Amino acid sequence: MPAGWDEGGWTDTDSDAFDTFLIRGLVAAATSGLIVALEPSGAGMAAATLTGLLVMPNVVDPEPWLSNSGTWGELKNAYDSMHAQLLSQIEKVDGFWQDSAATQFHAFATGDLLPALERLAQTCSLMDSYCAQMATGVITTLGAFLVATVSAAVAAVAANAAGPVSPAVKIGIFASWAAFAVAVIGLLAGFVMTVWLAAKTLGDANDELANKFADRSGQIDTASIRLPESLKIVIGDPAEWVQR
Amino acid sequence: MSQYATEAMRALGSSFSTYADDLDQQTRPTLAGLELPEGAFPLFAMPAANDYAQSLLAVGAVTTALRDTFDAIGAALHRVAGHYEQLEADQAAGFHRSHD
Repeated sequence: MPAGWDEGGWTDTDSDAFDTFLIRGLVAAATSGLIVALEPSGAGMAAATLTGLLVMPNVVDPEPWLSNSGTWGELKNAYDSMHAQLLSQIEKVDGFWQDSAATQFHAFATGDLLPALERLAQTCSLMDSYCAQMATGVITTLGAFLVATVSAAVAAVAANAAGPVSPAVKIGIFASWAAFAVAVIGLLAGFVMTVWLAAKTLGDANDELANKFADRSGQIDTASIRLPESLKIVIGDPAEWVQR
Repeated sequence: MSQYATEAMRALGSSFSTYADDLDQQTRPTLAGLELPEGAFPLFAMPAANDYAQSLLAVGAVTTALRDTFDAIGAALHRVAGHYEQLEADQAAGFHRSHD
């Protein structure tokens, strides 16, 4: 059993919300520093608007994505293990039950039950990949934004400290900020691409199960892996079993 | 000795029931812990929140159906073994009465 496990699961939503709040506070603090450093150029308000509208809503705590990625991977291993156990179980049955009923049971177990476990493992693997991509996207965006913001603020403070701010310096500060803003937008565009690719992976995860189980309404229909009535009857007839 | 392979039947039934329990214990609490609140999704990824929930729900539904199936197989094998052990006991009692 993995460390940190409990019946309530891995994700503590209250703690995650608090972590997101702290991370957004960090972004706000870095942006505030930049705004102060950019004044009196007037560019501070633009930086605040950009951060508030584009950056802040996309900054979240990466921890749930990291932990969920690991948990999906463990779940995939669990289904793989259950698949191996079922295969061994079927081989045991084959060892002492060999007749028409056994053939039906074998066909049901290998044709429906084993593939169901394979689909589950494949889906978990895709979900693991999706969560890992999201975590990478969130961490990369946050890190790059903070580094760029602090760097821009330091540059602006250094310019102010050099002496009275001339128009040329103000233009330079504005140009630096503009470059920074473009970089942030580019960063966000890159993040959107990452999310789009991640969402496509998630679609694949849905398809893995839908290919096997979806009914006409698109809902998951598990009827194919329920014990068929006819098989219940043949299992219930001991005359079909090998006599010892 | 039993005419039918009731002992093997019971053993197989027990292993299927254990297998159903294992599947439940190894996956159910983990699946419950994989839920993500909407706040975990960045704004640009918000449309994926519903897909994530649907995938999680689907994995849970298929797992539950598998567990129920393994449980049904296990219980069926136990019931049949019990039924035929009782039948053999009744036949043996009838044989003894006819020779008394």
